[in-house]
Amino acid sequence: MRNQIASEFRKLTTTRSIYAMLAGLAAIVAVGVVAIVTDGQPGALVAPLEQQAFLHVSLTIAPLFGLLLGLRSFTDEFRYGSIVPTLLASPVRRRVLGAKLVATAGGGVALSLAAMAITIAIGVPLLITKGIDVTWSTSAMAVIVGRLLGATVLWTAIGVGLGLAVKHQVAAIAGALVWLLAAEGIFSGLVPDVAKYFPGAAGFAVVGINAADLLTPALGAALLGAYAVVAIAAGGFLMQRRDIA
Amino acid sequence: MGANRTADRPSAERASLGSPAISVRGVTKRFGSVTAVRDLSLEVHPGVVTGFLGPNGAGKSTTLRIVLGLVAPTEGSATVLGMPYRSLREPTKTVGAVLEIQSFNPLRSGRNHLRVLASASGIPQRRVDEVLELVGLEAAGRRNAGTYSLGMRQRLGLGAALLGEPRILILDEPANGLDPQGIRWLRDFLRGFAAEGNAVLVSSHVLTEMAQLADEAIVISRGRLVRQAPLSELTSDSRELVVVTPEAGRLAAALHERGLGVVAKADDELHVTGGDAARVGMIAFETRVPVLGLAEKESSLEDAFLELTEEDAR
Repeated sequence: MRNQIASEFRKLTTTRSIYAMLAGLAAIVAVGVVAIVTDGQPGALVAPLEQQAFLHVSLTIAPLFGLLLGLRSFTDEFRYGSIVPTLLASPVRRRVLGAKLVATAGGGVALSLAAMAITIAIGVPLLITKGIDVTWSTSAMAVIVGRLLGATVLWTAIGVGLGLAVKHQVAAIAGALVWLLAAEGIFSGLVPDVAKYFPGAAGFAVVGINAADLLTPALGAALLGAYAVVAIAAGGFLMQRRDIA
Repeated sequence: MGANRTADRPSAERASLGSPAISVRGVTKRFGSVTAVRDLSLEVHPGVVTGFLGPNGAGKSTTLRIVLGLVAPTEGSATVLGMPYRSLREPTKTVGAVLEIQSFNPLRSGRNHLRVLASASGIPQRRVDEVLELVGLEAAGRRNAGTYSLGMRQRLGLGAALLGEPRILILDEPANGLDPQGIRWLRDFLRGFAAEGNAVLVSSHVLTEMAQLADEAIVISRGRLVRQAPLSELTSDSRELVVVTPEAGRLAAALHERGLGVVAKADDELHVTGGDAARVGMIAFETRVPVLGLAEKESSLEDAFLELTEEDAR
């Protein structure tokens, strides 16, 4: 198992994909933070760091990148045929699944930490140039970062399981994005009491955005975890039976 | 077992490989309504290169994938050294396999592809550079594998198979994309590998290629075993002598009497099986029949193969 995890980490770091994702994430976060801080009226910006609206950029986008990372984990291998040598080296398939969960969680954590670091590195100097006195509570910031990492890890797990179940990369990624960015929004308008239990809403609850309409972070995490378990179980079940032909 | 075991194995372990190296027993595989393999049994033994022959769609790849635990048989079982592939403790140090030309992420370098696989099997990373050199990819190793030519992709696949210094090699259509030099290299490599007491199972639908590579042949058609025999036997079975004589009737009777197979092709031409030129010449001499022509018509492997698979198709 340890060998397979090492192999999965090596897979992550030996194509330019993860660096491209990192660059994309950094660009989105940078643009978002700059836009929010420069647009904000000085009055609205006077708040401790942990309550700044620009943190939401990372909290929203980084878990989504975690999901993409997870979705690509198996679908890349099916797409390029590398699943064959992978399974020849590790014929016990659930071991490959486990190793991918660990490695993509690690990759997701790295992406999220990078996003948060960029957020603070850009946001704080911008606040200072606007003449705002920057204060923060370290414990409150730690809670925010912890929630971000938790959400990201759960989303990578959902991605790994879903990608394994669906197998086809474009279908998996397009399906997930359409659901999260369009379908859930429509449902939350039509049936908000039901829609708050959907995965996207549960994810927002974990990181504490729009908290008024949503579940508590703990409940959101439990629910998102349940979705992850279902996705992994479905992917694992299909993988045990699937012929690699 | 530690990682240091790969480089220098004790010679005692090298000495004997269990036989059969690969065993397929009564395997049937159905994909929906399509039966790819029907009640197939075969064995692959160490010391020789075994060719796995059959037309496209005969079930060769499916059979190899069943042996490697990638496809589950509907019925029957396949084992490597007496164990299902999935139960092997160190599968890639036991069996090396190349199934598809494209089995790597094109954005990863060839060297990193091998490093990824080495990690998964606990093989030391220095082995990667040894293998790159062995398959002649040391110069291209750091380039993205997506830029490789067909032949280089085959070599990368072979490199991946050789990482764990396995005792058994399974290659599906390995000559695809190799130039004549590459095929010769592969033949010499496989011959040497088998001569060390290792086992090789190599599939192909191109028979001239197989004639160069293999010693033993397993022929399948439509998912069924047609023949397992030494390659030489496969061709000699259908070896015919062409005899030209003005007294075809008398000679035919004399040959028939002595148990040889005779077919009259023309008034003065007989096709004889079951005896060599010396025997037929001697019989003609004893019978006092003049022989105007006596030639061996060695049918090619291709003829033998077509004969075998057509019989099955009927």
